Amino acid sequence: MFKKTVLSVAAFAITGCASVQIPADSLERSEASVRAAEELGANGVPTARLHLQMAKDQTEAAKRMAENGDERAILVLARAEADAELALGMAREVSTHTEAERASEDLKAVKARVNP
Amino acid sequence: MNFPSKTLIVGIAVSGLLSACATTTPPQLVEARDAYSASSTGLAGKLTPTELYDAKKVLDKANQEFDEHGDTSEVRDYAYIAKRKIELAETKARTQVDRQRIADAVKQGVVVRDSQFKNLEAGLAKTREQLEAEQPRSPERQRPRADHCTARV
Repeated sequence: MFKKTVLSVAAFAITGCASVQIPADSLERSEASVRAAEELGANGVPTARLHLQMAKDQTEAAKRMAENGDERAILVLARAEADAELALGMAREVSTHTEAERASEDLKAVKARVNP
Repeated sequence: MNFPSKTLIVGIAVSGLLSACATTTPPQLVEARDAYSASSTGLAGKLTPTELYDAKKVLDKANQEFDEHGDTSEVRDYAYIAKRKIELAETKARTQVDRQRIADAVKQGVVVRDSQFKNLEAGLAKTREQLEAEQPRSPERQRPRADHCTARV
């Protein structure tokens, strides 16, 4: 009887404390996107900064959930990854748009020199 | 109306209400579906179909999960991810448009500079021709001056 009780308590403790393994590649991708977005100046773009913050918060939440054995951690990390990639895309968009504006201005200047 | 039919109507109404509540589509899924249908016929549909397809696969998962289990956290999570992926496809499409603008501006710049160079070359050639046409007369013009100088000496 005692043995049974000890075993069931142990089993409960193991299942209760078991942590969920979050995919390392997903975590790496998410963190890499966050770093790349920051390097591209995402913090200077309001919408990109918002998604960057969401990505960071959700990554932390996913880690906590995984430690507590919550299987939803995997999907929360996927949400973080999606936000991080979006932040990077938005930062890239703003940077490319600025470059395109500059190229148009340069072209106008060249044309003006040819046909004043 | 007798009692059993009243009960039947109330029963049908209650079960209808309950089933309506059970199948209420979560706002995240509605937004993702709307965003996808707008994007697939817009810029992303033309310029970034691969990214959009990636989003569609996640949206399909959300729809399937909703059909099978109703409004669960998984449905909301998949719908959230799908929406972000759709936004990313849109962002990438706009970036592509800007990249094309840069390439076009550079190309046009080369054409303008090239024509500018050709005009300069043509002008230079014309000036050279004029100078060459004037050259035989120059010694004659200079001769009296030379004579004058010799006379002076």
